[in-house]
Amino acid sequence: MLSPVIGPGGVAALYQRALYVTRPAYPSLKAVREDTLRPGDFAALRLALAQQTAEQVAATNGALLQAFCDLLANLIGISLTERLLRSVRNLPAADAAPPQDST
Amino acid sequence: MSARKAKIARLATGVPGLDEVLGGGLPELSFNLIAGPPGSGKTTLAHQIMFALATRKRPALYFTVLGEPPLKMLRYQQQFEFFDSEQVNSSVRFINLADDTASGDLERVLLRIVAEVEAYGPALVFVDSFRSVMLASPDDGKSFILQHFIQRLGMLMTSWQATTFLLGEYQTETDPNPVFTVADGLIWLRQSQHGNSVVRKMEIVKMRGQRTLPGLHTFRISSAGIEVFAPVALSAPTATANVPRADIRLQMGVPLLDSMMGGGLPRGYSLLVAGPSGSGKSILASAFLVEGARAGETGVIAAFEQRSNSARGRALADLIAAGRVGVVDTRAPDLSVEEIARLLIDEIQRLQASRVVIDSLSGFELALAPSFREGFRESLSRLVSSLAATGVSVLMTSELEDRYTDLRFSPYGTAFMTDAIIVQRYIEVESRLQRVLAVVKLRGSEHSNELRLFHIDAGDIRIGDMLAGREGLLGGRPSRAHENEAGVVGDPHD
Repeated sequence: MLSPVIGPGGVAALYQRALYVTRPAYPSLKAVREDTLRPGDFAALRLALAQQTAEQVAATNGALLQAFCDLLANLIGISLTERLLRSVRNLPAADAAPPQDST
Repeated sequence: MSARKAKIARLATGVPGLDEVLGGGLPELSFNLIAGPPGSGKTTLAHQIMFALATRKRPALYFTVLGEPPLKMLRYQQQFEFFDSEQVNSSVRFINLADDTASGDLERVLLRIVAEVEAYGPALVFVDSFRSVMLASPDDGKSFILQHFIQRLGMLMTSWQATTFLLGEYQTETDPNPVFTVADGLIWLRQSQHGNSVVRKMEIVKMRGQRTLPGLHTFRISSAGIEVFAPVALSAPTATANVPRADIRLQMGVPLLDSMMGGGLPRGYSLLVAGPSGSGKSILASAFLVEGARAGETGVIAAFEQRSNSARGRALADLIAAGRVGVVDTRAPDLSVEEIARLLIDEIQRLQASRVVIDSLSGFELALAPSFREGFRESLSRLVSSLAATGVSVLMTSELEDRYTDLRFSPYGTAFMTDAIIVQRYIEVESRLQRVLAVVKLRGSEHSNELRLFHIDAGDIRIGDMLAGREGLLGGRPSRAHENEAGVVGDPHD
């Protein structure tokens, strides 16, 4: 729901940055190499998370999503971020894994 | 018959001054081009119009092409007060076409736009920005494909029953660009630079079906968005009492001056006070406002001289502090006469003012952006007539270079446009500089033709006698006359 507005390229750039800032605290993300990413491609992330326990997956994914939202809010403000990500926010909680990323 | 003609509704754009410049608003269902170099305000103008016009029933689609990354656009545009986050994804939808454009397949871009328009059924469509579409085209040499694309997009846009906008970067309007022909409206934004001052201007090159105001109109971008300054004469409100009333006289606040003016300044007149530096023009202007306040009137002063309020005399400073006299005090280096006129008229209306002082025209000219100084006389003439249309009486001061060989009133040729003129001069008498003053002109009224000595005493002007027995005062060095001649009162002038 975000990529129609800011473009797949914009989403990819934010995703890469989110990976970069989340990686130090979650070493499992080291396997996800930015330079191999293509817009809309989460295969590397799935692969990395597949080797983790369910708790670890939830924590890592939640942190990544949080970082992504924070970056977006930093750029375009909280109110607009909430508007654009409303359907994501309606999910149970930010630390729950979004369906497309669950393993 | 006329009832069967197509009726063109006009939309209020929500941009102050733009509707006036457009000749009454934006025609509904028109296909418009907003053109201009980078940074000229195209996206801001489009957003401001969009947020003003979009509703849930009449939603807007905003296509971003390669130009500005949408994240940046959203980041900066939301700083404006008109940007309403609540409208995003409800009445306003942003759609990014970067991927389709990057493919270089213009047909795909067109299909995508059509598909989105059909899906949402918008009343407003924006495509930002157009030059990007052109650059993305791989066949740079083959402009035919591109022309074809633009024309098709234009034709499509007219058929959507939507008011549509293309934003594009063009350097000159002389480009033989087909889209200029197809468009119903062509709004051109420019920036002109002169030294350190940059002035933004807007021109409605074309707007089918209505009379627009010709020429370049200055506009300013502030946190509130774009504000266009329409020519003052046309934007002036019609006040209730807008006819000069020679039978109602305003007292000047200087003893004896009123009788020299045949009873005072007729209401609604403009008065030019000309004199060399330090001769007491500003003091006369202050007295005019203070006297007005004494009679229960309010006033406005446009101050262009670098001085504090307290330097204008305690009485005036008190009135300013009490809100009885409004101050239009503008120090921006890129002002236009239209913008100052707008500020003045707003202040006049706010205070219901009847007396206005512009101190001084020389400072006013310096405050203008250099690119406006060329047309200063014309603009000033419009300003004076628009102020007159509001029914106020205006006193303007003008620096007069002392020349003893000729009698001049103002360096701008402003003398002809004012209804009354008072001149102050220095003369040398017995090794002292003395001041003299005369009423040179008072349209349609009797007035004195005396040259009177005056002096300034504790911030007040005291008018004295004529310098009897001397002649050649205007030459600056009067000599003793052989016989006295009394001043004659009552010579209808002009």
